[in-house]
Amino acid sequence: MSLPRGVDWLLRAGLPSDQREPIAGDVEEEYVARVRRDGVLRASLIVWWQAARLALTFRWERTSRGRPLPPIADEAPRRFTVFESMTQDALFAARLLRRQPGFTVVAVLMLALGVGATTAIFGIVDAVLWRPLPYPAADRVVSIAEQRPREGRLHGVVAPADFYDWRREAKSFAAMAAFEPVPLNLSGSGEPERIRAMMATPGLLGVVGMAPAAGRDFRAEEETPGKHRVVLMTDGLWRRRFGADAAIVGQRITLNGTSWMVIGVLPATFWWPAQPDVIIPYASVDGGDSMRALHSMDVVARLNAGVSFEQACAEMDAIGKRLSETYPQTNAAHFPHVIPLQEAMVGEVRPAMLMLVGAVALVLLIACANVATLLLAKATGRHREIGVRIALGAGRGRLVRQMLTESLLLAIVGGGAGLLVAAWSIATFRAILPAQFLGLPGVDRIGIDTRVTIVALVVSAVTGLVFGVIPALTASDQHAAATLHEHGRGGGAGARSGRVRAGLVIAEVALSLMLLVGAGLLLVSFKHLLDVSPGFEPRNLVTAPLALPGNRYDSHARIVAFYQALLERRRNAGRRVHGRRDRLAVQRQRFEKRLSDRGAHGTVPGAGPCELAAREPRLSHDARRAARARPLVQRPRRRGVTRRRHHQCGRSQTILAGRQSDRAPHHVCLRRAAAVDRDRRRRRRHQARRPRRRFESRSLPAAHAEQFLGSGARDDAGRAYARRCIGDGADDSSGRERDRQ
Amino acid sequence: MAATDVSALGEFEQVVLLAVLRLDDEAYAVSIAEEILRCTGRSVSRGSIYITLDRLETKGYLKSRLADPTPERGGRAKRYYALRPRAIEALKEARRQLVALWRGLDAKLA
Repeated sequence: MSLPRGVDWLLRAGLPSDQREPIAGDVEEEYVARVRRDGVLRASLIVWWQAARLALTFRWERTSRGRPLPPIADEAPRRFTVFESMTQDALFAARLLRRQPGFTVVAVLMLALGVGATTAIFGIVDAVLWRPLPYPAADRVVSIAEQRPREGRLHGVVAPADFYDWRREAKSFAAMAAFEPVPLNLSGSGEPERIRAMMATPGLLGVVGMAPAAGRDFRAEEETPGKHRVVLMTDGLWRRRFGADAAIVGQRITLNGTSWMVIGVLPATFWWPAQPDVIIPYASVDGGDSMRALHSMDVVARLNAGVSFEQACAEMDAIGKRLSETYPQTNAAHFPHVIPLQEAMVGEVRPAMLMLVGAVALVLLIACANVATLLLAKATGRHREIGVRIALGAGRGRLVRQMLTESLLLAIVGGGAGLLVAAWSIATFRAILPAQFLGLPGVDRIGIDTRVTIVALVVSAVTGLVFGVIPALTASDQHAAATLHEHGRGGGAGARSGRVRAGLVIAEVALSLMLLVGAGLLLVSFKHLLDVSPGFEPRNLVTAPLALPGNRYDSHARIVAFYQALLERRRNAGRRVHGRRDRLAVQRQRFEKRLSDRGAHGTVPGAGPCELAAREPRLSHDARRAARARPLVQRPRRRGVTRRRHHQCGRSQTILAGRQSDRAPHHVCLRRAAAVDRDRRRRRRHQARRPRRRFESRSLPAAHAEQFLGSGARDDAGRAYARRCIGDGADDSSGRERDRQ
Repeated sequence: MAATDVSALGEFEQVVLLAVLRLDDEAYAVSIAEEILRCTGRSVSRGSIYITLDRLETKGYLKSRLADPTPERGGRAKRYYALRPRAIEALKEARRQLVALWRGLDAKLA
């Protein structure tokens, strides 16, 4: 029978160290006698009362009378200063770690992995999620989109007419701008080059709080077609292509075969997710209500001083409601949706990144549990040493401090190694980062900086305390005489130490299991993703985006003639590459983009108020053959028209359109197409059938800016073949290849 | 070491010393308290016993030793006390002083 919980602590805290053991023994002896006589409850209460009185009496004796009593509790006479004492502890801990190299190496490796993984993920998440965007007062910049719940769009692109109404009516914003990425061909001096461009309305630089490093910003009148042939150049393109020519402002460059005047160079600090090389004005054309049916713009704005985010949201809601009432045909159930710009940029990756943080935190906890178990096992072998130190008068606090110093030293060494692991991990991450993540804010700032280093040190220190405190408390909780006696007889570790170790192992196994289950689910999801058929055979397929210059190919006939000539040239050259027949075909892409490139925001023939499924890739007959896929919806070929002719005259070009066509997911069509491919008879019936419900088929003019798609025996062969065909076909166009695999 | 003035013994210190003297080799805090209770009827607090024993040891009247730990005490040792010779001298002196004071007072107290 032992003393009630807390009494032992009370006696330890209140009694002088030389009196503690015999007095606690007396109290326990009386407690045992009282339990037999009065029962546990009464005995416990009496003993509690006695212990409290004893502690107070000794405290009173010492403080009030100033008698030279032996020291109380753990307040050992300090022969050293605190600093000297800590230095001694650290040197002793270093000697201990050096004496056990096996243990030290294993523990440091575990800590390095845990701290390294945590630091690396923190470095990435901090740069992307938690640091403000690289603009002045970045928290005042918002993204405004159109919420179209009926079409499943929470934050969708905006119709130009809606944007102009918002810009005119909203008073909560100091600046508002719309933009849309567009690829352009830069030619003139040097090699023709495909560059990233962005059409933006005047005011974009005002939204991000920047000014051109040289030259000027867009003027309001440069939104007008005819006056819009001006361009702002980024610092990167200015240095790379024009050798940082100081006289670039005022010069003319050729974009898509047209002359544009450079009016300014953006500062090197300018950053935008699309990473444009140039910015050109968004030339607005008054297309009436039809401009409310085509949604293509992204809108950003900067809040006015003194206007809160909520006030801006309320004002935009009111404007959206009014537009819905005024234009019920196009704007019914369309609402402006305002969110911080950073949220718009990183909202999609935030859950995944936070999940990563949770996962590495679990890894760190497992590392802590591992090292704590090792320390406990090591402490078992130090019972005799600890017993001797207690017998020599070392208090529990002193012992705990010594053992925590050892843990902290271990954690600091592990943290240093973890920092190296983190630096290597981040370098690897940046090397293998997929291109689509380069548009995330802060990706270029990912690295080991002061903030990450401080976090690594703090994590190391906390880790040292976490894995050190349990072994320290457990190992120091023993009685000198009993320990020495027990150890002398060859006794093992105490039951309490065993329980703690068992608890640590259980926690470790539980955490590992959780991580394993999470990783397993992730793998299963990934396998399911891989199993989703894209509807075509992606092996050895190469795509080459191609934009035909509008000044030369400004009519449907010229475009069709170009592609006919190109396909003919394909048929006449390079029939076989490495023993396999090559295929090259034309693919329609982004109907909406085509209209924007032409600057004709007019009505879509026959489309009415419907929205076009702009991002739905449509494969021509040859492209489908190359990809071994079949269309879901196709205009039936007229009797007597060959399949080739059917395609060449543009009759096979079909587009999905419908009031809810934006909700038609790409993979649904492709999966349905793949299913059709599996069953020929069923496929024929399906092709002949008119699309039902949401979809309707419409014939549209032939393609303008399109995409090549070919296959070869090897990727590089197919790539070279595509480049050869394109180069022969369009002298002043350029293409970049992209693997489909 | 504290002063050796035997006249400095307080009343409760004399009681404790006498209890230790009566218990011979079995004098430790619990048995001392019980002996005082048995002989005088006074229930003394455990704290005052410990403080007094400690004070007497500091003054050089008592010496103590730690016995082997026993299971019924949770493996803790027991501290036994014994009188030093000067404690005997101090007790004799105290008794002499008291007796001298008591002498001749019987008529007044009757």
